[in-house]
Amino acid sequence: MCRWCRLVAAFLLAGLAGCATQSYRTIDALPRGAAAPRILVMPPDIELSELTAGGSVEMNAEWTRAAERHLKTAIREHLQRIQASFVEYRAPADDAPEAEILDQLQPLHATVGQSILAFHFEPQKRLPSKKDKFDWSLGPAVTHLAGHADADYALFVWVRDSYSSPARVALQFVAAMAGGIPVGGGVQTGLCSLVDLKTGQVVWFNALKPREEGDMRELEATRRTTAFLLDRMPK
Amino acid sequence: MIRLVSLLLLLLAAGCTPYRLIPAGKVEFTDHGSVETPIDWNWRPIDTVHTWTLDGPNLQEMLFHLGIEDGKTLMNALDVESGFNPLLVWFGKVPDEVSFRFHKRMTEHEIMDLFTASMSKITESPVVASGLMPADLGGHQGFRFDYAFVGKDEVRRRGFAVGAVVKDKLYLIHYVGTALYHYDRNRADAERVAASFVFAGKD
Repeated sequence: MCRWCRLVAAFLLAGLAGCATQSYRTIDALPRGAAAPRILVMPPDIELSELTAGGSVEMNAEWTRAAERHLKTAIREHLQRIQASFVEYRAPADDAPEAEILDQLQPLHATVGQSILAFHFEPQKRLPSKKDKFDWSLGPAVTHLAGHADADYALFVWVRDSYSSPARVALQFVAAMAGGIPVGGGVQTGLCSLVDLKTGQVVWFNALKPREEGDMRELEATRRTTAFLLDRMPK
Repeated sequence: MIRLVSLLLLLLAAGCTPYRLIPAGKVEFTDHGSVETPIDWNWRPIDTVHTWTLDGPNLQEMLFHLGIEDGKTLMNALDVESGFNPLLVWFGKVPDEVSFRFHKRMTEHEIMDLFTASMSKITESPVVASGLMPADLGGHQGFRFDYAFVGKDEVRRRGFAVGAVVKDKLYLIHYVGTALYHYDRNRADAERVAASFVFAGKD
């Protein structure tokens, strides 16, 4: 995206974005026994798409594969830097009894995360029966993860990112020249959770507000996004 | 396409409506009946439907379609013909599909098919129903069945529905939740709500 277009887009998104992330936690630090609590890092659920001139998004498999590699690297580096005890998830064989449950936990996390965003972060939209408590869970199925990797908590990360196609960039330019008609570009959004593997409760949640910044096709930019996503994660 | 857009706009508008608390106890549905709930729920109306949830509609939801009249759809937004632009009709255009409508002489099997077709349209995913059997709704002979689908978000969901046709109108209560957790967590609560339904005027 051209520098000028990015500037316009940044202004347009300013009201929406505010600060880059917003986090919520139920604990500031993970309870420690004799050993440091171990975090199971789930494979990031990430998808990169191209935003066409017509406004539709088309998933780009090559970008997505690259971004997944970058995000795994960036998460690993971040956790090493903050000296967290962690282990990376290894998927079981497709015919393993728990394979289907583990496969469902990733999309369930994304849907729970979207519900947290929709019904917790905006006070006027909170569900009154929750009485302002941060009470969200993936349920007892997560105990399969604890047994799978001898871990206490699981870190789930979900990211969606899109980038303007050349035709979209041309359209933005023409629209800007024709009197500053706003035509949005690609948007990066994400969320992540730390889940207690004994109960399924989400003990820490962070959301990357939609922003027209970041480029997860590149490792360095992915490191910056990861720093936002894992900002103030308890360990 | 116009119909789909209007359905999406309706659901989007519903998404902006905040939920209100339904405290545990008796809940009245004007002109239709009442239920007893053992727990608090969150309520908001969508179109002609009352919807309840605990964690958000994508995690679990209980829906009440009460008093659907002969020839009507389960939700107004599913009525393709009435939502079709009159200007297009004037130019001789017709909708590219027909609405799934309730008819008072439908068999229970046909009502189940009406339900799955309507839900498939709402969820944009194929909904499959099974286990149709006789059941009671508010003291009237009715039916129940289970259903399942995988949403656009790739999350598996399960649900059950209980219904009856009373005085030529369809009354249908159903509950749906994520198969991995939310469905089972509050299924017993939802069953108690459905079992407690009393038609208006029968207190």
